[in-house]
Amino acid sequence: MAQQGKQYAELCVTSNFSFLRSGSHPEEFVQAAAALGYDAIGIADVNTLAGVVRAHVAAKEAGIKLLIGTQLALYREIPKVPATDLLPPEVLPEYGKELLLPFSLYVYPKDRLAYAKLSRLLTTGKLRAPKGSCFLTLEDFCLVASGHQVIVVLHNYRDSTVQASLRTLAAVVDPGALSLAIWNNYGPETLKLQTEIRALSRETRLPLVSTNHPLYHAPERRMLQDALSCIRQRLSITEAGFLLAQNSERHLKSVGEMHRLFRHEPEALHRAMEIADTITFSLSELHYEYPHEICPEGMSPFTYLEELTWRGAAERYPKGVPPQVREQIAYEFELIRDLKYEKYFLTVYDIVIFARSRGILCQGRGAAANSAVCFCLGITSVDPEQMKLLIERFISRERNEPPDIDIDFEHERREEVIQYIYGRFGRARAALVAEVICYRTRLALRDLGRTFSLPIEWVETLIKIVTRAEGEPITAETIRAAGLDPGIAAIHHTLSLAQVLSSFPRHLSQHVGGFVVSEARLDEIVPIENAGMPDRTIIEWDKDDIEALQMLKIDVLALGMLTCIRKALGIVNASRAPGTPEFELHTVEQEDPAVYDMLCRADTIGVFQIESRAQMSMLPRLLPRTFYDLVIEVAIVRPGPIQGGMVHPFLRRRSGEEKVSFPNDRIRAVLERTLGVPIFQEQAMELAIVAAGFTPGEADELRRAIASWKRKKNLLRKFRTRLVGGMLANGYTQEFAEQCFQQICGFGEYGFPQSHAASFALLVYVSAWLKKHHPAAFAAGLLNRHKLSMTQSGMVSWHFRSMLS
Amino acid sequence: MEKQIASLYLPHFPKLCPGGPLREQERLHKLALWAYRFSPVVAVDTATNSENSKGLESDSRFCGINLDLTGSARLFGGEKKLLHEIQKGVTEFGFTSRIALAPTLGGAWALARYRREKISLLRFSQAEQIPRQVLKEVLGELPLSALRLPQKTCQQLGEVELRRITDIFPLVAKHPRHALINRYGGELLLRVDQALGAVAEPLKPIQPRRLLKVSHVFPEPVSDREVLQAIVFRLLLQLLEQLRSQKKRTWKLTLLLEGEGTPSTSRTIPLSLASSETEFLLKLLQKQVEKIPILGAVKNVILLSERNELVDAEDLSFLSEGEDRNVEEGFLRLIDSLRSEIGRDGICRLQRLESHIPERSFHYQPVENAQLAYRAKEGEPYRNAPLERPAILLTPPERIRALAVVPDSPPFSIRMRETSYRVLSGIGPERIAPEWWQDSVVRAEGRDYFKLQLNTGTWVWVYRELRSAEWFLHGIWS
Repeated sequence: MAQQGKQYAELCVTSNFSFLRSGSHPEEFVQAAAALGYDAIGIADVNTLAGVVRAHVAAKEAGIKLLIGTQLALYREIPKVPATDLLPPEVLPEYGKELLLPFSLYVYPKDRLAYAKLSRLLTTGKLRAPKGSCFLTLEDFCLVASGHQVIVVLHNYRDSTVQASLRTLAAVVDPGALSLAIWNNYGPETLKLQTEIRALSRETRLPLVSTNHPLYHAPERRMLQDALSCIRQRLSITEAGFLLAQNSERHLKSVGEMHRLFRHEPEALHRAMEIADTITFSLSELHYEYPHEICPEGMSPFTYLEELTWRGAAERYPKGVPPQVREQIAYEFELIRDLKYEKYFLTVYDIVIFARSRGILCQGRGAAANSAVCFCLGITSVDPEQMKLLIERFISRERNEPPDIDIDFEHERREEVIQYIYGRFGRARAALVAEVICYRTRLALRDLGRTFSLPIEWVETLIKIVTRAEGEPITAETIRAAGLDPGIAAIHHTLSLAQVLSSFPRHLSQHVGGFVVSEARLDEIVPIENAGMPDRTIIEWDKDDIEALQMLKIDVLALGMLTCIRKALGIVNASRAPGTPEFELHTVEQEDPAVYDMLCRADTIGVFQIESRAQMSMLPRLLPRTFYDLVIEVAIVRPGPIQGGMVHPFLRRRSGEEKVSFPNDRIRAVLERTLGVPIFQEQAMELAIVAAGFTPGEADELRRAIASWKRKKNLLRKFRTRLVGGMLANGYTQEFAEQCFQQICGFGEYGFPQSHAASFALLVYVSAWLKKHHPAAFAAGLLNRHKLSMTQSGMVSWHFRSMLS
Repeated sequence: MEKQIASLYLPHFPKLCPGGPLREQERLHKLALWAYRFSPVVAVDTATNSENSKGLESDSRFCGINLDLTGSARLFGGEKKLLHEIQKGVTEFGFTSRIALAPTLGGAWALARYRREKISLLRFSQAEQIPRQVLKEVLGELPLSALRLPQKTCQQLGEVELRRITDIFPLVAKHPRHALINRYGGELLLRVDQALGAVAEPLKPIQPRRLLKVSHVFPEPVSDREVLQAIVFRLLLQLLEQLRSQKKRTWKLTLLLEGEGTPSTSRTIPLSLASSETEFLLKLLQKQVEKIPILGAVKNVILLSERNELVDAEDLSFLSEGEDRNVEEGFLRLIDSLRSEIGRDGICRLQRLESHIPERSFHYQPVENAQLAYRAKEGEPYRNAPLERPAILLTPPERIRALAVVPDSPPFSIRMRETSYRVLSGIGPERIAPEWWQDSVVRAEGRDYFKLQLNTGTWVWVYRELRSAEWFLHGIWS
């Protein structure tokens, strides 16, 4: 705890987003600093802002001031990258190490403007370097040096260029914003280093600022830190020698201890507080705005959306819009206006319109995608009329988060859409979202096994043990049963360190299709870097970061079946009778009994989603007759409902063998359309709200817990107590409560939300319809799409030939 | 670059060579010596290189010589011509032979013995991307025994219908190595790897042996060491005379005492520097005569000199000049004298290790080759080594008493060996944490080190053990 009246700010923290250089997550630093009573903490990772959102979220929660910044490792000159660089992807290349200046700059922007400059500086450095690197020189920094607090951390005081560089910096940085870091890590040369830094400070008249230069939040992480050093240098722990740290001092120390360490230099301690006080910038200031191009000038986006929707509705329903759809649209408009989502819908619409103008087939997915508005806008082809009660809560009003629409495009032509987005908004305003690739069990054990020089066979055995344990603690007996000696220290270290390491970020990669598009320059919000693929740029933040800052993300995904359907429809339309309208996704004849007859016979080879053995065996039992039956069919044959034991009760009830009953009407409202058995993910959540008294926010947490229950068993256990307890309190039987919990857990193993199932069901229906009525065209479509293996294409041609003859 | 290993097989050799295995070996050796004209690396074929190859030693297939012809072919107008030439020469010796050239010894060995061609040539042009694939195909056709496997392993594999080499490739590829080792022993994998070049298999070149031998037979057996000393002196003079007449020096002396009906005893004196100095060698020899056990009476004294070298062959002058050279020579002579006193393993050299724990930052390693040890005295520089370390380190550290104001400030006075010292100035602490990855046995406790100047002017290195808060003296700056 902080001692009375003593203040401290730690400004030179390196987190594990400086990959392989630090032993703790940014969140851990923030939480530890808050617990120690620090007044502020500054986390700055090497040439990146990738970890700042996590730190920001954690700091808001912990109630501590966080300085957002980066640690610039600058080059004397831009290094040359060897042309034939055939490094394996897991290697993080370190180019031109010998060209690095002998100090790092910890740069903290004081305000939004300075932050924008810093973000653009990093973007510049990253775009001129290969993936994963950032090439910047001191001159580059000098151009944007105003507006920041800059702390110089010397690595090598013997270098003769230091003084000159400091003079250059002092000339461009704001007056009084340049400081020299001084630290005491009880190293062999600490005193010498301190003396030199003090002398430098006197000569250059730069103030000193105290730090502990932390690499991990708690001393026990030194082990992991050492192991990481070994992994980075590709040495075993016994080979690493003097490259390892001599002690475990580089953690966050108590305020009292920091004051004791710098008892002779109170002004250095004070300086840290001063710096923290001058900085007002927080990530909350990043206001995200939707791009303006999506709406014609002089028109309010909401009016434009209304206009487009009604125009679309008239097209969709040539015989007049049915009253219940009209009602639904009005209800949705109210919601959209309240939550200010009109620009989101318009952005998605913009992309869909482009795809349609190029004849690229697409289909929206996700909760918001199945709204009547989306149907009218042509984002989805699922008729809301068919979906009855489905859309009443397509966006949760309570959670103030952007709606979720994923759009599937023909897989062959998705790149056109991606390049359109880059072109329409410019590379400064549109980029793909990153995916933070984490270590995971397997790789963590491999790398640590190498560090501790374990034989490959042992490492493989350990991987098996850990995978099987599914997060439960591993006992000595388990290890012994697998034929290894639990007494061996190296095995113990490998296992215990792997547990921590497996959640560590390892490198950034690109998300499958998540796009961020913004009104202001995106590179002033977050640095943009090159992706591994040519012509792709990605931002440094992943989808959780984006969500935390409430930024728009559109998932532009690829789906092979759309390619097939487009090709088949192309053939059908080319040979249609003159004068008849072209077939499109939404204009194929609905609820055709002949199609359902075929499906009930399980004659589904080639049909989307339901051609697997499991699906085919389900069809004759489920006997789908309506579109909604297909939605259930798609959702029920998933590991989730199967493991939750929902399949058989549902089939029995559907065939009338079992009576459909509900404990009360509130449950009936949730489960009636699926005969009292929860089949969709959102039903599980609604159950928690209705029966166990969860708030919508808690239910959402439950959803996330379910999705990651394998990794976070304890969290789910907590929810179990909460859920079963809540249901008992509301007067439900223990049996019913336990059964509900089992069913909810089942969704951890991939359940479908109803909205996704509905979008897929439409493709099921269309592909089945094509197969029934235009088998030759459909077969041609199937064969023309890529990625069919020889056996698959052989089977398809054999099947359809026999069908046609 | 691909290696080019030739294996020469003499199918009818044992029959032509009466006189038992020793004689055989001698003749093969002779043949190998002759073959030196083709390559600097020639070996007599044996079944070594694995632990359970004992059963193979008497195998008639191990009869021939192996040559490393990498780079030799050009001098003889191509591989084919070279192989022809070798074979022609062997024929003149009176042997029929089959010879094969391949990138691995295992490959050449198999081809020479299991193919009917008199000359098999397996080489790869530059264009061939995957020589191992070619090797695999060619060898695959041969029976398993071509892999130099023990009879037992071949039988075992034969029982499951694995007879040709190609049969076992999927086995090796599919199963984890340790499972195969458990089942068939390490031999199988090793031989496959060797044949395909996955592991290196260096040839063991023969050493041309040129012995000088002098001996003295007593009319009556003696057991008096004084007499032996006198005889050994005389023998040494004879030996050195022979050496000097050939302008040679010796690297190795062997003294052999043979008794009547008692086992003979011998002593070998390897030298660090070739020598023909009477006095020096006599001293070394006399030391041995003093210590050699005499079992019963000695009938016959033999003195051998091995590895004799021409005097100007070992001219050290290009390595170091004048005085330096004398220093080195002196050093090597000293090592040899010390060795004759305290035995071979008695001399160690200090080797540095990279560890922050001071007592683990070096260790003593017995000196194998004194010349190498001398030249390596500079050693390699440390990476990131700590700079301030005392010249003298106490093993183990000595307990002292110290008075300090705050735990991590230098003490102002210490008391050691019954004497108190004032501390004039102190630097520190330097904190050294335990090496957590070591077994607890060698893991030191965390310590805070201080460099102190005592009132006597001496600088000492003391530490406080963090857990016990006890003080120790660990080093002294001289």
